[in-house]
Amino acid sequence: MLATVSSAVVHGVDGRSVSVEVHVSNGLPGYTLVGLPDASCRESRDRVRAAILSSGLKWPTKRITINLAPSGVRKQGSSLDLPIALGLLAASEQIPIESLKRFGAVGELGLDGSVRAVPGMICLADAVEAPEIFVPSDGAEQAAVVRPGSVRPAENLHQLAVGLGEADVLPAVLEAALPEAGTCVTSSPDLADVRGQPLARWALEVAAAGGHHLLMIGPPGAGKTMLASRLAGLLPSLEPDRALSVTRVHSAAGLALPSGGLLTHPPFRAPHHGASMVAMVGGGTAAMRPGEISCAHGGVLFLDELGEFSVPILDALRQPLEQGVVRISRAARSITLPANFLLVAAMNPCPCGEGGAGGRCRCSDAARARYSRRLSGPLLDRFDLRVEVRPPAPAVLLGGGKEETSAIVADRIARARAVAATRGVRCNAELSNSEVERWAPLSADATQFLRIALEKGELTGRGLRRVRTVARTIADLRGDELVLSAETVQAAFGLRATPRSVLGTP
Amino acid sequence: MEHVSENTKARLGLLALPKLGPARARWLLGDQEPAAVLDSVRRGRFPANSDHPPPGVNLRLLTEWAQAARSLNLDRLVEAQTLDGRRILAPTDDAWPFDEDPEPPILLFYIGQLDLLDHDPAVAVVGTRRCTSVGRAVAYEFGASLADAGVAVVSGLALGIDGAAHRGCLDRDGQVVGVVGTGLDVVYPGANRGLWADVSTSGLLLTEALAGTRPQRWRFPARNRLIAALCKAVVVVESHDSGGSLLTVDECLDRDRTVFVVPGSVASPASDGVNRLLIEGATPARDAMDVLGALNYQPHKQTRADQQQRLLLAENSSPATNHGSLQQLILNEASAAPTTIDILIAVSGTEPSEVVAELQRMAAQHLIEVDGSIVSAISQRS
Repeated sequence: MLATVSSAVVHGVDGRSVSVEVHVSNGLPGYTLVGLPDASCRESRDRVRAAILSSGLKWPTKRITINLAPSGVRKQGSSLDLPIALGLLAASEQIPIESLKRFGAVGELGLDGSVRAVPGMICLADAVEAPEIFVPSDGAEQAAVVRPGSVRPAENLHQLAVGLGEADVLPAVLEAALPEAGTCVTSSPDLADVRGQPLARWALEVAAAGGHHLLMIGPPGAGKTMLASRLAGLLPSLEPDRALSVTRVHSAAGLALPSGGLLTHPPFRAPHHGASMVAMVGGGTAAMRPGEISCAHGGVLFLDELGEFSVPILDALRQPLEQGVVRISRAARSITLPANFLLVAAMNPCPCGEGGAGGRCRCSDAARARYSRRLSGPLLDRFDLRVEVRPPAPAVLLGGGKEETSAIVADRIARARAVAATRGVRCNAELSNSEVERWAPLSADATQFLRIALEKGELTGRGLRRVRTVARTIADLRGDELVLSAETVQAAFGLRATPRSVLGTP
Repeated sequence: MEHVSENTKARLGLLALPKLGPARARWLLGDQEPAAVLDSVRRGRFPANSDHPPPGVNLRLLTEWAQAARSLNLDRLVEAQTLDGRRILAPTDDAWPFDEDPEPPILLFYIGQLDLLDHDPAVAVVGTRRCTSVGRAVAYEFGASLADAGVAVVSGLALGIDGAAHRGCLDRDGQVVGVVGTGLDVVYPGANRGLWADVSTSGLLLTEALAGTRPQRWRFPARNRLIAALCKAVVVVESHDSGGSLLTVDECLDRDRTVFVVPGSVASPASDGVNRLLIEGATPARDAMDVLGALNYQPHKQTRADQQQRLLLAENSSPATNHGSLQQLILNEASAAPTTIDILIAVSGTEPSEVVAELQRMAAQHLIEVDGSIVSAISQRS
């Protein structure tokens, strides 16, 4: 007897439809699994066998052949346990074969027959071709987000076998409960905790409002990490379609998702500087797991101690920064993963951290030069905002002054983003060249100022466009008119100032 | 190829021997003909009347020298020293500046205008490589105003103070002399490549090391003695407590040069060395005028009054008057000591964007310098 169950495996941030064909025939008892399963997939045999026996069902003592079609594509993960088990039960006539025409399934099986969650629920549910789908109850909400009204959460194999068989009592369809925008409570710390640092605060605000990449340079303990960790709380909630694409990545990467199933708040990813290339960019396994930069899609990628990251990893960031996606090519296949993130980086001016002013630096010239060489010019050029963060004065640290809270700043940022939305982009950093011409015209004074900067070589062509988009954001935050004044452009230019100590020039 | 005398060739040959620095070469030469000295080295003999060899010189070293000397090709050596505009200056030449020096070099190699050696006065501006932004600005200003006064600026083309002084002098089309410790074709430090090229095209770049000589630790103190010999006075802008610039000061004192130091904050480690020199009796100098005054020198190009006028012009040309008060406040804050943008925002009570924009305007007018978040006044005095 032949039974076919539709299911799916994860590939990158998408699901790939897989049809599980189970054939049970007379002959020497045996079990063959074909269709390029990987180790975790091949182990399903023992889980499925134990689960079927524990559920009070029979393991057919016949020749069992299972094919995972399309058979040329490598399959990874345990999401095929449940469809294999259902197919076996149907092919051995323990449940009616026709009943499986209507239902697909994904899920891992425990030895006791329970149905367990698998990573990438959203991607999997999306790809299964059957009209309805059985999924693990833990993770059913995510599946319901992409397939409202056709998801049935399953507790265990016994329940399904009984439901599909004589009793015809199936688990109820889960209604999607979309969380409403704004209800998501952010656990991000408040900006009011940061004392002083008016320049860096402002730069953070501009970065959040315009989506401009920010580099903070300063000695240890100046507050760079503290500032950056407040950024997530300043960003507006994700729009529904964006939320879905972000959730899809997190689901595929197997990261924890909120109870509603949908991520509504921008993610904040802070990988350690020891991260490997594959961990940062993605790929690696047959499933092409998304890397940190894709997990930061729609949110913030914070690279603390930028100078300690390996040079190839830093340079690998250049394509995603420019295009918002990362293309991973391997011998067998290539894949495009979303990676549209706001890059925030922090670094010390030199290895000892005391460089810059004060003359307290203990580093040799060679060590300083080596450190600054890690930042390639093209990478540095992609940071629209570069500020030096200095430790605040003792009086500021000890004083009881009130600082602005995240809520107030986030409100200004939301307004600036609303202005940017009228131009058809999410934030000003996404303005194309022609859009910059249209939306960021320069006053005569501003043109003159930029002309001098270009002539002196302080600005590149790319830099010019970036200065104009940053100036646009500054003007939006202030509620200024369309034409950019000289003052706005000068302020934007001033936010690009890199300390010479970092550039390694005398 | 220009004509090079046999004696100069012999001096070149001596310089090309291994483990042979200026001191050993001077001892070998004594007051004999260099050609004869090289000849006796070749034959494995110490030259006549060279008693009491300096430490480390023994028969084994002599054998090594003799071997190396026998395999020398003097013509090819001369050719290597005179490529790419490099020239040789020998003690027999009229322009030789070390006639009365206690530790003259064996030969000098130079690129650029040799007549700068006759320029009077020449003032050396030296200091630490690990300088503060204030020190850098002060050194730049010294270089610039000495240039304005028509004084040649001598320095060592190192990172930090040296480079800033050279740059200041070059920016005002001044007379600049760079003394380096490597061969003329070995740019060191690499970061100063541009400065190196500018000095050799519009000034004088010189060294006592053969072309191809890599940076070696002992050559930098040796280079400092050349700086001391070539200048009339030295200005130490910043120096750590055990800095190489203190060696330059010692060499200057040996040669009766006046030593000026720029007083620094007692809290700044980069000024420890200069402040100690002050206690030991060096003359303090706030700007180029203090140096020139003490040297009884009348500047013949530009005066302090000119510079103040420049400052006034810059102030009057500021575009809008409401910037005036913020600009004044920034100048007041930054003039005492370098300040930070954060402090300026806090003190002025204005929006960060306005302060940052104003700083850019003022930097464009050369009133202040912004390095990262450090703001320092450039031409408040001098």
